[in-house]
Amino acid sequence: MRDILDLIKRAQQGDSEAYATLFGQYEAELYRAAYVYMGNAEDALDVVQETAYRSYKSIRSLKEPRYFKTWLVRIAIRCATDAYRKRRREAAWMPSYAETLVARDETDIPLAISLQSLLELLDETERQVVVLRYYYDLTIREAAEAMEVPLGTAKTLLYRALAKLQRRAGEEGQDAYR
Amino acid sequence: MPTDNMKALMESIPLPDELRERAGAGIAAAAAARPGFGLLRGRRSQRPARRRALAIAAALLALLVLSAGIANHDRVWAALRKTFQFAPGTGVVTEEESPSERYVLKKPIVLKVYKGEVTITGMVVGEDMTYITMAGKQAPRVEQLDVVNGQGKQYTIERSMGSWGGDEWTASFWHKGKLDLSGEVKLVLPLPEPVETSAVLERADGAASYAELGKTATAGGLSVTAIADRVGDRARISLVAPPQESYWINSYGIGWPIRYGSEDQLSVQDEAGRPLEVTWVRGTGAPQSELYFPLSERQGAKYVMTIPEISVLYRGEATVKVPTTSQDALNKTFDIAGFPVTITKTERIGTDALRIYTDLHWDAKPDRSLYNLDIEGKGGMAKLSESTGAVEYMEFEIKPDSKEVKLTFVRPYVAIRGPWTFEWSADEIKP
Repeated sequence: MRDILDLIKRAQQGDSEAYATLFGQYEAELYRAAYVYMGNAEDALDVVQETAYRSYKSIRSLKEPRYFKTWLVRIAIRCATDAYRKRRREAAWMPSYAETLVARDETDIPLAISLQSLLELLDETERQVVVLRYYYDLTIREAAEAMEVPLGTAKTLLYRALAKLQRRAGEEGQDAYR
Repeated sequence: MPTDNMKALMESIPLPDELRERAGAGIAAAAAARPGFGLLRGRRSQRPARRRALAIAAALLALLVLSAGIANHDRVWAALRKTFQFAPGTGVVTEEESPSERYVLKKPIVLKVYKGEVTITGMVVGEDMTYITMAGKQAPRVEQLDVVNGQGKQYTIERSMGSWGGDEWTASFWHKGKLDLSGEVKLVLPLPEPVETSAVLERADGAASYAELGKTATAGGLSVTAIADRVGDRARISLVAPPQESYWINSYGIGWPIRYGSEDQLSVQDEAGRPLEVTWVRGTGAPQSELYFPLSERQGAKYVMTIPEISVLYRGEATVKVPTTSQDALNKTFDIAGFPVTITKTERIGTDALRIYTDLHWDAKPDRSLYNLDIEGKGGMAKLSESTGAVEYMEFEIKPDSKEVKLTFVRPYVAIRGPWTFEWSADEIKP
């Protein structure tokens, strides 16, 4: 952690090599999350590059270095969302899910999912909430904040995503026994 | 909870070879986009403190020296009898009443270094300083440079500035004072396996004005001169502009649009309207001012370059206080560098963050628009409009128990609308 704080401090002083070292510690994670969100390698690389660009551009104003990763992930989410929206200009900013839907216990979910299922079955917001919740280990509240949606919407998205995956897992499980 | 499964699934996604390169490119672009940012850099901890201090001082001095020509706007405009000298590859234009002898490298030199290449992009040797710029790709970074004159006298010049990103780097070497260098000189990159080349330093041409340096176009009160020459089978275009009093240029849009979300980008077309590939060797600082495009052997070939927008950074700041609670109709307007900004509403995000929604009044001026600005000392993020590129909201951390927060807005970025259009016939781009 001390090394990271030192790298942040140096980066804030304009040391781009230090920032490259720092960013390098997170780039694989950011890339994989972006890959799941965008669905292909080239767009995911664009997201990583844009995240590197925006984050280094504003690193000087990061006040709480210990929250660097959270800060970086939020920028990455914004970059991914912007890139996705740019790619699909017709896409709505955020589907208007009914917040009255209550998500059930999220621990009751499938375990046997494939990457292909994840990409095929889930829309971009569902993929995002799954990645935030289970890859970045954010709480559902933190994921909602990162996605800039109400808590109820995030829960609903997660519920829908998990339900889809559960159905697919069941189908794949049945196939396995045939 | 399927966290482990999810992580295992995610870890199965292969990482592409170019991941590091692309991340580095983003960092390098940010370094180049923010003047003075990303120029003092790494390996400092490996240097003795004194040497480090000297390196920093040298870098700052280099900036000062290079900025000398842009320090006094009035003098520039009054300088009808002055002489302007341009050093190709460096972006430097000097102006003097009594021109001194300066020697420049007129064409870049590309060296194969290990598996990559190093381009010596520019050299200028004057009475008061020597300045050399370089760019590398997939080659080891160069910390110092030896220059040997025709009489065998060797000068070692330390790197004064540099930037890195992925497998690319740029560096400049600056020496204060006169060096006896002109005509043919030898350059040595003192790498583990030294690389040598010869270079010819020719006397710099003098011009009576920027317009004499190359073709000039004006839009939004900003005149830009495009200096064209031929390098091999490509045209090299160097963009220069007289210094302005209230702002300085931070991007011509070479390589990517000025504004995030904008479709407009600097372009070159031939006489049939076919787009030509624009390439560039990364420069040592903002703005990137040099580009290349391929030349044709066709009779009557023409080339048209269009710069749709130019991004400039105004001087100016403004301080306002805003409540840290959510307020839907705040509508607090202030002025920064002559541009109105309205904070339309505030939104408290959790206990320790505040989002402010901004209206940058995109249409407030006919020929230019404020599109971005920073808050001094505040970390956070911003959302940009896809259509205008303007900041829609900014979010930053606050103290949970604060009632209001004082914000100092700085670094107003403004897009000046063009276009600036330049046209060359084939014979106007001379070797």
